[in-house]
Amino acid sequence: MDLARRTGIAFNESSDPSPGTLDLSTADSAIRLGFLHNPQTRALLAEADLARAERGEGRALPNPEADFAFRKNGGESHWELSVLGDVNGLLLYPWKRGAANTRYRATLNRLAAHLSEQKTQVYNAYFSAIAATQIQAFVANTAATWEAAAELSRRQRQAGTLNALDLAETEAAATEARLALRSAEGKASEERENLARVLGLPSSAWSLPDSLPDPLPEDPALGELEALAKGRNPGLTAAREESHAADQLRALASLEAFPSLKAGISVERDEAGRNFMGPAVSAEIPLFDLGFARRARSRAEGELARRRLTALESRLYPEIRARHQALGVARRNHEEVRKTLIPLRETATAEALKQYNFMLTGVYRLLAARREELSARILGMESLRDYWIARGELERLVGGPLPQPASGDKP
Amino acid sequence: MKLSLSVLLLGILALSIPLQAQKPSPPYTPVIMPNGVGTLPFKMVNGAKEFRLTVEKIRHEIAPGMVVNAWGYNGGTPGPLIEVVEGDRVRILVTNKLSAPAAVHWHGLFLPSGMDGVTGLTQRGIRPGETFRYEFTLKQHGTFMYHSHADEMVQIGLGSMGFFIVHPKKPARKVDRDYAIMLNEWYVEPGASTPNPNEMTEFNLFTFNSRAFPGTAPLVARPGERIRIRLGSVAQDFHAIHLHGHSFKITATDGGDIPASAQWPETTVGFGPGQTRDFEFTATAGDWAFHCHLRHHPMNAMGHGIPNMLGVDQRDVEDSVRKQVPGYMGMGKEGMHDMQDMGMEGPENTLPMMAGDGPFGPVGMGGMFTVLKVHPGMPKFASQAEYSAKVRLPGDMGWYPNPPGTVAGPVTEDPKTDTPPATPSIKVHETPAKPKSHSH
Ligand SMILES: [Cu+2]
Repeated sequence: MDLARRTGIAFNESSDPSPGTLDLSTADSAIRLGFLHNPQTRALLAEADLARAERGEGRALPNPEADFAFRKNGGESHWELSVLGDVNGLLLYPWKRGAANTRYRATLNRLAAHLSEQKTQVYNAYFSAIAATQIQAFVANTAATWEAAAELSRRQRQAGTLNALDLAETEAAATEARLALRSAEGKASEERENLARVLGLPSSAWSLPDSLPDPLPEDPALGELEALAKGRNPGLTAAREESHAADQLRALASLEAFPSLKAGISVERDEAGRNFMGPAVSAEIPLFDLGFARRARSRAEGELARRRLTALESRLYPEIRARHQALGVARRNHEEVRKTLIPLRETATAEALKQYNFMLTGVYRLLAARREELSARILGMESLRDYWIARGELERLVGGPLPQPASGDKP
Repeated sequence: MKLSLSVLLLGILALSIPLQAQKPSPPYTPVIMPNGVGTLPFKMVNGAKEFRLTVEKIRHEIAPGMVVNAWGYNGGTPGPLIEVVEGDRVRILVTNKLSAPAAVHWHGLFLPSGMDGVTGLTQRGIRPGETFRYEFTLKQHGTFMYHSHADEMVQIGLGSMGFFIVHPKKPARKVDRDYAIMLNEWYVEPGASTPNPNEMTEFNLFTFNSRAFPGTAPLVARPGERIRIRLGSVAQDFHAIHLHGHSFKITATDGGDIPASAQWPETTVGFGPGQTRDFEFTATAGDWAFHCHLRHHPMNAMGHGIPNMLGVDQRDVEDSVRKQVPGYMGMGKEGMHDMQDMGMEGPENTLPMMAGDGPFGPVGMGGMFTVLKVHPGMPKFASQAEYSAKVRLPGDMGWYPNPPGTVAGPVTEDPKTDTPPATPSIKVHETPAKPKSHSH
């Protein structure tokens, strides 16, 4: 289908997958499922069918008109037949056909833009749901370190080796950690339900992979993205085509300023059985409606379409630059967290254990070191999520998949 | 082949005997500093014994597994022993190889004020690369020290100290073995390697001759031998050095000999920074602990403010901690001994708080702790070098073979096996005071 080309997604797959085998292992599989199941997407696809029908209507040649009259008086009869063709309609047919085609393309692109937005919603929801589940696991570990610390403090208190202040502080921190865990659990299930909503499938019907894929080896340069968006952003293309269609319609409106003229043939048989034949003409008398309003309307429509196009362009490029910037930040942060911060935090935990072993530090400091390590992992997961979300937004903005480096695998 | 080798060795021995015989044996028993770098040689120049000392940065092993960046003399901390006789004229040429000014103070010696080695007061600092001459005549005998008197907090804190021992011209009595041990305190951040001289009170390394147990060499003797131990301190704190199994008398301080009438028996010598103590006793067979009695001093680095887990049952919580930090062991419920039993990994370049193995298992000590080994047939050592070559670590020279029935053991309920100890067959040398049993 034409929409598939415009969105870069093969969404018109033949058969629905049976429940329980829903594959959400990659973001694209989620996108495909979303297109199959989301009712809004199905509605958009129905709109595309409607637009195609409208194009057919718009491209039809005007039908000729026939007038027939039969008169009778006693045994005598008399009839008259005239067939008139719409001269203006025939003369203007090539322009009308062109405008209908342009409008159709504009509508398709408008639909493609909506589909892209839905696709981005699926992307965001998919990455956010996986990340939230992962983060919940890290927060659960953090809460477990506090729970162990609180339990040790209670036992210390029982053994008479801890004062009430230290116990209260540790138990308070453990309580805060429980609150944080509850929030993280809530966030994770909220994100899963959000994904269920955009997929149009209940969360019981699918399960998510354990973690997000690593960033691709390379991301496209800003210039490349801007060039791609110029030619491929469906909203932009739609606006451009709408502007073009408006121009065509305006030309048509100017031509339609000529009074409507119909021409044809008239046949008459009189009561004596003689046939008469001759040309017939019917013309509009431009007395009241001189067509000024129609032309003004089409001019205004053309102006509106141009303004929309300009407005869209002025929004699009800053947004691409902002998302590209966010992509770079997320990528570099993730890389530094993974290559530097997490190993450093792991070293700190290992060294704290060695110090603990030699009674140079206590179990609470050891648990604190472990918490810092968990915070680093949360930071890593957040930047990875932000990376994929930024890529999804960029795909929407450039109207299709981002250019891939030769070696890169798509998630 | 074997025969010819023996002949060769005999030949070398025969050749070396006359050479050794030519060297006049000193009129005193040479002093041995366990783990010391040696006795400083001298040359007679213009009627004076001329010594050369170099102040320099060194790498020093506190015990196997821990090496620190120290500032010492002639490659060691303490520096080499200066060993002379009352009446000698000495000239000491001190070269400064540090990047900071230095000065050497001759602690306790009577000398011209200008030779006292105090930066700014009696001389200017010895600049890096310079050599200063100190020259004086020894008017007294006893146990003295030399140490830095320039930026003392840093330089002594990093090990710039040594013994200066003056033997009497006519010794009132001769001892069979004469030992010298210098006390110091350090702060080395666990896992680091340069002592922190800014520390004022919280030291974490307590050393005998700049070594900490289990890196300390034992003191050796034969039963019945007359032993002198000389202690000196450049530490920050008071120390109470206790010898098990003996009674001794303090015979001298760095202020002079104590008349016999003023000496009284002791088992512990308590003394402060900047003091020396000589004490003498007759050795009793056995392996005897010799250590500072301040509880944290025969111990290595320990963290401050670590939680007190005494009586805290960690079962099942231990598992939840281990889930977060694999390898975690709950410790401290019944004291600190767990740490030693488990043999767990610690930070690099750090001694376990409690360590060392004896013939009956882990000793669980550190810092200012060593062993006086009084065994029949213990060899004699003619020099510091010979001693240091053979006696370096606590296990060296073996362990005392306790006579049957003289070792404490578990009591059993079975009357057949639970027999009272047999009378010791070993002959115990008579000591001035009857050996007491101690618990430290
Ligand atoms: Cu002490």
